[in-house]
Amino acid sequence: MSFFCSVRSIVISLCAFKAIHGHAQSSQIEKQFRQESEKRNEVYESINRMVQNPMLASGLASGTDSINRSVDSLMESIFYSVMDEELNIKGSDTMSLISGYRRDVHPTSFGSYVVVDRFQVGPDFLKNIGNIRGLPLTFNGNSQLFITNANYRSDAQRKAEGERQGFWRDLLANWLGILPLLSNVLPPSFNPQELYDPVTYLQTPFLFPSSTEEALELPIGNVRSYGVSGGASLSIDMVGRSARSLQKTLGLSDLDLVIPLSVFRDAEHRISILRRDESHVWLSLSEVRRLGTSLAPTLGKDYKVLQKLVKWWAGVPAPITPMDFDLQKARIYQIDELFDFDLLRENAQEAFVKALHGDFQRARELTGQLAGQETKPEQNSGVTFQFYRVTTRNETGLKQERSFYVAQSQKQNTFGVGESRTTDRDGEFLTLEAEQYMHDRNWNLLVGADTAEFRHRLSIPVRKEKGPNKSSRFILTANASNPLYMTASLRIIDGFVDVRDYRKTLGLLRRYSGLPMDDAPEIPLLADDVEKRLMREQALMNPMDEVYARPTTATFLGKLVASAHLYFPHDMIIAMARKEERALWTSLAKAFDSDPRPWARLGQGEGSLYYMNLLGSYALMPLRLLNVDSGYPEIALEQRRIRRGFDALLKAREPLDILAAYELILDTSHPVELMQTLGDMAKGLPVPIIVGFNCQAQDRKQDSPDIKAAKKQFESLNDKVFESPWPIPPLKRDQSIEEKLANFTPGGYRDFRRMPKLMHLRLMLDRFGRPTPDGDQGQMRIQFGVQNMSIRHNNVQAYIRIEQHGALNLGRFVLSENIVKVSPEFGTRPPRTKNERMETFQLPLNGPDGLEGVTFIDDAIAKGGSFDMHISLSEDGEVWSPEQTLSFAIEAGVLQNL
Amino acid sequence: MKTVSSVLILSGFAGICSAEGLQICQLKTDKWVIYNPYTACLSGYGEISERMLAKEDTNRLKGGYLGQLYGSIGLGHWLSLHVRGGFRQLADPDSDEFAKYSRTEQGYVQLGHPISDPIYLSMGRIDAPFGLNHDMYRLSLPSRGRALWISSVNGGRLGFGWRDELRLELGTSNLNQDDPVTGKQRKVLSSRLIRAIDLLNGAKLMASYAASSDYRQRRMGMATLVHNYENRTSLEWVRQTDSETPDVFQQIFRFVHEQQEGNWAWNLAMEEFRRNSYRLSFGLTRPWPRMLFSTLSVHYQKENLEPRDHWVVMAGLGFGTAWAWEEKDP
Repeated sequence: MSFFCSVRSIVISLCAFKAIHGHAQSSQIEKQFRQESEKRNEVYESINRMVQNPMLASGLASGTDSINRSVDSLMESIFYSVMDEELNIKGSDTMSLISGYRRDVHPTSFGSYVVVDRFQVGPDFLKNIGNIRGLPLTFNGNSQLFITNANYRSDAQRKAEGERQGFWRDLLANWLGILPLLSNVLPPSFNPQELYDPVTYLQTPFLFPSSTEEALELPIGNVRSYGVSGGASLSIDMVGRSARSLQKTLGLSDLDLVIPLSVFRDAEHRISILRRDESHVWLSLSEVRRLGTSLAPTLGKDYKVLQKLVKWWAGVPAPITPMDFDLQKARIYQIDELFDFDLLRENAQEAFVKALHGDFQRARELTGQLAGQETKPEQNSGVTFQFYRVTTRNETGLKQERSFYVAQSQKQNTFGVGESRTTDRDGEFLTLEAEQYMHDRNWNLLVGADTAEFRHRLSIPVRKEKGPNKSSRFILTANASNPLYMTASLRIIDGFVDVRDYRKTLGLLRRYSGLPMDDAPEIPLLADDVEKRLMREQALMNPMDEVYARPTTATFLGKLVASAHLYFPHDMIIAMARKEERALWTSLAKAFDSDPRPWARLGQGEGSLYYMNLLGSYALMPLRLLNVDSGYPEIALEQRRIRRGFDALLKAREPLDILAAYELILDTSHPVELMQTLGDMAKGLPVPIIVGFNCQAQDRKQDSPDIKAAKKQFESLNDKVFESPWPIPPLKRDQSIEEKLANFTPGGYRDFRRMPKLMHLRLMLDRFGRPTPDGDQGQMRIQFGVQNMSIRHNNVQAYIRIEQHGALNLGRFVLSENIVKVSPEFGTRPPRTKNERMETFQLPLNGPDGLEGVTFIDDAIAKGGSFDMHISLSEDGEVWSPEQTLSFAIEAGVLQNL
Repeated sequence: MKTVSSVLILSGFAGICSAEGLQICQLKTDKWVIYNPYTACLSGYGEISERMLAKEDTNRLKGGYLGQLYGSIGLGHWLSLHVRGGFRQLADPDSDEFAKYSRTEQGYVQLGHPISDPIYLSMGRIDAPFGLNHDMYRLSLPSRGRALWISSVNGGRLGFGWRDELRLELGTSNLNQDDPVTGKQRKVLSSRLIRAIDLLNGAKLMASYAASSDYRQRRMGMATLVHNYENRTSLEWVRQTDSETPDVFQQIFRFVHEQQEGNWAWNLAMEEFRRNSYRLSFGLTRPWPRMLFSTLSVHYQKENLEPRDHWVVMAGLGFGTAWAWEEKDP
């Protein structure tokens, strides 16, 4: 599947003629869509998908935190919370039964969404069991049975599903017509997938298949899980008299202050299935147990806005939380096991049904994985063992948040160190792992969220050797075919990018990767024509009129997703560690934008510059509690840590020593500066690097020529991949295990089925000289070229959605939505290769053979209008290509490109 | 040789009009930033309206009119003179009298300009810099006072700008009120910090502080204003405290949204004056040929102190024009 189709060129042509029918005229516009080199992108996409796996990110994620409490957007608080319902039945003062539904929608990098519905039910026990020196001690215990259903859905799939289901079911799925209405009147950030199909949502508890037949009815790519989870915690609220008095002194007594210190133990046991293709299903078993402590000081309050508007409504939650801090330390034990079942085979069917109910004996027996099994695994049983992995690790997680309702920032930093014992089809292997994961997210009410994720990871292939007296030691098994290297990844997602953000992102990626990326366009910060126009409009304005004075702002561009991946071989890190001290100081000073010369003189000695810098770092540490980045260059602190890591690495003889050394090197609050330092020290050495961009410009009708030019420049970066001259190493065994697991996470599934690719789209308008007897003013048609069609099908289904463009800035305004079957009209161009087979299709948009509900096109031909046309293609009605968009206007009966 | 070009602005109402119909004079060339040409601007707006005043059980129909005028002459952005005046005669919802108002609201000299110079100074009849005070029905509704915003007589304002992103304004003026103790006219000292941010088509955050010269009365305010093409949304909060009544404070929240849809422009305003009243206004405007405008607005006000509510529905016909002149080739 190519997620990298994009616009290559826009061609406008206008052929006006006035010979036939008096003043009849024709006009057309055309857009080409580029297909990037798939092989190149596959490597990039594969790495990218693997590192975005949130399940691998942190075992601490399921803890209570104010991310869950906070309002993600106004939409979330007003509309989406309808799908997050919880029923609390009180059994006694301390015991209650909690049952609830929850829906989460995750965007994917290829346009569709993953909708995850969850149902859970279970008891909750909460009791105050006394006081310790006046501080309340509380016990909390809970357990839940849960079932989840994760579906990939695009607008095209939603529409196709609606047509298949019939009128009444479709009506219910659309909330008796309220959902299309909301889509029309709410801002574009409103996602109908959040509310679509409440029937399936309510059926969630009954959706887990119990037989082969039911499993084969699942849509391909669908993931369903069930399991039990539970935990117990003992916590003491540390808010004493002095904390209360400090709160009062600071004038913050309106807000609630809690400082719970807790010890917790929790666990989750989960069985998941994933329908891979027509006959194959993956079934996984996972078990996670955590034991740890947590300290979570929070100062804030959940206010309710518009509470008195409707009597029964609790109002919109408006959290004001200047400080929300959560430090956790946990020991984690995790088991993952995965089998592939070919459900057309009898043995596999039997083993599959047993495994569905938690009995994996038969599946293990058929694949020779049973402990102490003497019989040979059965060939052609249809069951394929993928892997079995046991991981133990220690994690430290720090989460900081700040929320002022309309603007929030969240930062999460997790560090995990542990070992994994994995058995795959080639046998057993052992790895030691150290990983740092940082997630930085800023959100505001107007433009949504921008996030940056860092992941720095080292896995060391080892084997365990037993020594005398039950002792054991790890032996390094890395070699040329299984090299030891550290990986570093950065992923940035920003749904609302202006030129200032673009420059910042580009600068960040340049610093992080060390690649110059000279081909990336330099876009002017301000649109010159807009700046001049505003000056002309405002020069004679009353200078006292502050309301109407508009500042010139950085040009808005669209949506940007970018990733960078770096590979540092272990030998190279050793070589860096051996470099003289000056090199580390110089590189660090450069990374922090300081003058490297005074730092280069420091060497091993620690002068006043060193101590002054260190003092500054300690003085500013309280700001971290408030999640405020001071921008202070913490050169001395970073050098001290890296130096200790380097020294430990040089002394390391055992794999565990190597792991401890990397733990020191990687555990930073300045990931960009760390990578910049390492990159600078490794200059000229072979560091494989890959950086990729996905840029979608968002056109507006009011865009000036300079803004259009800026957006065109921005879009020229779409699908661009920058690489260092050194090849990316192949996936290691432990990485391919993670890639398989990534399929079970939202957005991680990769569909290998063929899907038609839209190569070009032409829109044609023939305007009649005089209206027909039916009053038609003209006819509009689309013609499109499609590649990558399968041999079986000769027809395609086209999903076409037309929206109002621009005039109403705040709304999405869907005017029509259709799915139509079309056949090639112009014959098949003989294919040069199988993949190059190209078909051309033509379809009238309006008129008697046109789409339904498009009378607005006739109006537009007569009176003008501007629109966005979204198109997605499918051969079977199940697999839909990524949506492509063409923006156009009709002015004076002539088509124009926007 | 100097040649002169004059431009009559005939553009649409919304988008380039300021408060209550006054249209903004526009330059035709970009020379203003290159050198300092002489400029002149004259903008006027007049409206006659018919209004239905509804209070409790009584409905009345009354006519009224309002007008305002703004004029400036300048030597580029270096030096300019500005005058703005307003007048109105409208029926009062509380009595059978016609409320009359006629005032030179502004008359000042300006050195430098906020959109182009790092330092600028204004002196004359102006308000001390404080808050946003986005009140589009200032003249139309007699019951709408400036409440907590500063209404000055004479004063000065000094502004500093940094890289188009931040402006600090300091000002002073005499207030139009006497000190209850000394009987002398009060003065006010104020400051306003304006931060421009890259949100949509430009947004501003504004923080203001003002204190009377005897430091008994203090005001503070926060405001945000977002431009999205021709649309504007603002939210403002103002609090006033008085040392003579330390346990009581006065506070206002005001939300205003203005939007243009094709030829139509509409606006919605909501205001809550703490423990006093809240107001809701919705207005529509459409331009017609020959610089004419039709307006329609509905206002609702509910007062807490003396519980009662009243409605005003207004339909008006306005005439507005702006004339701009700029020196060509000095």
